[in-house]
Amino acid sequence: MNWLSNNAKALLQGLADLSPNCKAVTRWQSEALDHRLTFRQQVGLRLHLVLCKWCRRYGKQITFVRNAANAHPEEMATAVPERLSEAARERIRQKLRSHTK
Amino acid sequence: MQADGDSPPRQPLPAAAAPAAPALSDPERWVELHGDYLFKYALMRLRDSARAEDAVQETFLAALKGGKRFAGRSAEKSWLVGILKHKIYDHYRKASRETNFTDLEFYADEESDRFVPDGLLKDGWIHELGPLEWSSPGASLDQEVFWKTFHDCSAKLPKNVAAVFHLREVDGVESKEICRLLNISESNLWVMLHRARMALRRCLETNWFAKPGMAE
Repeated sequence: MNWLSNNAKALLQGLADLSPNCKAVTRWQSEALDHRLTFRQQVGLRLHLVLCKWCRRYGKQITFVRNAANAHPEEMATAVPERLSEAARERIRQKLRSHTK
Repeated sequence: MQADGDSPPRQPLPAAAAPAAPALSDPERWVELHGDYLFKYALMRLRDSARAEDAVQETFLAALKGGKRFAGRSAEKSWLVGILKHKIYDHYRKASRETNFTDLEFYADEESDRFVPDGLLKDGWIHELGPLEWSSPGASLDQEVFWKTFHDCSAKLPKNVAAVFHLREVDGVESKEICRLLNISESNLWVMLHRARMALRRCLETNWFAKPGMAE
C-alpha cells in the first residue's frame, strides 16, 4: 500500500516536471544558463516552449541580456555617471609619487 | 598570400617607431588617462565611492610594483583592469567573511503580479502582462543611451545581487567559483541570479524596448 502511494507520488512529480507552469519555466530557463537541468526538466521545458510564446520570449531576452553584458563591459562601465573626484585624484597622485621615488 | 616585396614590412616597425622602450605613459599620467574609467568600473561593482577610490589606488600601486611596460594605451588599460578586477574580488571575499552575501529578499515575489494567481492556469503568464516582443534588440547595443538605461536598471539591484550578476553575466565566472568566492550555496546563487535577470529584463522592457521610438 505504502509502496504504491510512494510510486504514485514519484509518478505525479515526474508528470509535473513534464508539464511545468510558466513561473517554473522562467526559473528553469535562468538555471539553464548556470547548470545542466535534469533530463525531465529539459524535456518539460522543451514541450512547454513549443506551446508558450511568452516563455519563448522570456528565455530569448534573458539570454540577450547576458550576451550583451558579457560583450560590452566597456560600455557598461562608461555609462556610470560618477567620476573620480579631484580630491581622490590628488591623493592617488601623491601616493604614486611617494612610491616612485 | 605570398610574402613578396609588396607585403607590409613587419620587422622594421618597432625599431623605427620606438627608438628605446615602447612608449608607455608615465605613472604620473595614469590618473589622467585611466583614473575615471577604473573608478567607474570599480564603483559599478562595489557601490561605494570610498571603496572604489581605494581599489583604484591599490591597482596603480600594484601596477607600479609589477613594473610591466606596454606599448599603447589600450593594452595598458586592459592590464590595469585585470589588476583592478582581482582587487575587487579580494574585496568581495573579505566582505563575504564578515557578512552573509546571500540575499533572498530581493524580488522574492518573482513577479507574481504577472502570473495568474489561481485556478487551472495558476502561475501561467497573464497574457497582457507577459514578455513583449523586442524588435531587433541587437541594434540597441551601439547606442550610448541604451547603456545609460542598462546602467539605471542594474543600479536598482541591491548590492549583493548586483555583485553576483556582474560576476556571472559580465565577467563570465563559473557558478562554483562564485560560490567559493562569496561563500554562498549554489542554489542560493541560482535564485539570486534568476531574480536579477528577471528584474533587469522587466526594467529594460519598460524603460527601453517598450518605449515608443526608443528601440528603433
